[in-house]
Amino acid sequence: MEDFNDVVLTTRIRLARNIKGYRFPNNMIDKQKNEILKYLKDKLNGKYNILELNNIDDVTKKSLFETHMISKELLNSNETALILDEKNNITTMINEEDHLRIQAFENGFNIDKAYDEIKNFDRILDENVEYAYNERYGYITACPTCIGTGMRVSVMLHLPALQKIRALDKIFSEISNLGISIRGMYGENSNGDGNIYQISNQKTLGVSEEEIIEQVKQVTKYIVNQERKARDIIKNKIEIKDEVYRSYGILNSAYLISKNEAMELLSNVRMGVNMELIDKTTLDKVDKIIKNIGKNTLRKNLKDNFPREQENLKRAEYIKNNI
Amino acid sequence: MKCTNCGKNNANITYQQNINGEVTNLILCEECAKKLGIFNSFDNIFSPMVLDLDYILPEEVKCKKCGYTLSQYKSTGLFGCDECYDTFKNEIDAILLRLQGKNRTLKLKADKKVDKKPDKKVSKLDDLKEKLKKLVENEEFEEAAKIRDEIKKLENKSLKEE
Repeated sequence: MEDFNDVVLTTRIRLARNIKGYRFPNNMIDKQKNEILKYLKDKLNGKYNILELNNIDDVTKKSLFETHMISKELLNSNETALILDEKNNITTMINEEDHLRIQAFENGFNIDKAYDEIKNFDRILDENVEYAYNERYGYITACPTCIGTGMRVSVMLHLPALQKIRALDKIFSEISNLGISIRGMYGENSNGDGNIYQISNQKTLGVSEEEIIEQVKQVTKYIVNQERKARDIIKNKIEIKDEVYRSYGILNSAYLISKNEAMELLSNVRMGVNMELIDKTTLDKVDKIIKNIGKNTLRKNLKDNFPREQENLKRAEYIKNNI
Repeated sequence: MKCTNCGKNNANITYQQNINGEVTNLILCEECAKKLGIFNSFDNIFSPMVLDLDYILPEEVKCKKCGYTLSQYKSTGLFGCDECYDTFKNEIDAILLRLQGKNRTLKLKADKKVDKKPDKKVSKLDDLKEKLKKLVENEEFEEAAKIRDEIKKLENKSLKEE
């Protein structure tokens, strides 16, 4: 498949599944949620490890959220757990909105690989636990917006040039008519930090998994092309080159930097690297920094449980060392 | 004109609903109008002006398994358990049509893993019957009797299991 790394950061597929005969987590008290954990531990014994969030240290948990592996809901609810299948890039959230939310992650534009991995994992789970499924609606979910396939395919896109030429609103309204929704980096109700947006299929029922994948692929390709055109338009402007170098200059010399400011500047540098305006750093380096500058991810990777006041200092240091 | 809902009966009711300026015209038969809750019966048109609503309003339907109600769905956007999807089937069909544009799934799963055992038994039975036929043809009655008994045993067993 063509390389879309200049625009696509990551690909993710999520499957929502529930266990037959149990209430959904939103309608359960903690004791009942614990029964789900017990059920899964019993059925998956020896195959997968179930990690209760209670038993994971705070920094690791929050870092998992910062790197998009788990949701805020999972972090903030009781009796939640994870199945980590790191070899296959699969993270399953237990007792989130549904009993099981299986997620496959890949870097870049790699829907097919994520799909292969998640189907494989889903099949193994299906052999061991009894899913809530019926002929009429398919896989049953707590929210009717996920029912049917239970599948959400999302792609994280970096769209700085479209933002600069103010074309984002138009493109977003176009693609929402195609059954695709757009959100900021941290999902629902978040805005596009560092010009990073997430697109995903809206509909999950009455369509096949293959159709969903094809739809997200087509729309991704369309947006990638638009972003590339926009980059071509602004490429030769001295103001853009100036912005890219100033951003690099600050990232490479600041002593204190907030996450928001860093994301804004990294977005400019990332665009500059892809437009071949700057060769002082690489795409891989920038993407690694974007992934790792959350407060708790810094704490985790630096193995340094620094106090909150030192967050901006540590971040600036990390960026200088890695850009 | 036929009813636009069932397409079978003659329509004798026109109903216009206006939700935030969005006007929909429904042309319905009496039966469908009742089903859709547009009115319960013609008598109600002449109900008294002042009603004791608590008395009139029927108790809300609850999911038999989890006790969830449709008003709970309206405030949370979530249902309570998998059986809610049977309890509120009609309402859910309408909700799904609005949210998803469709309210039926495509076939996603192969039919439930069929227990392979019965197949084997049937085929074993077939094999034995085949064998018996040949033995009889060859006039090997002693062997044939054994096979006949075996067939009987197998048939009885599967009858019991059913």
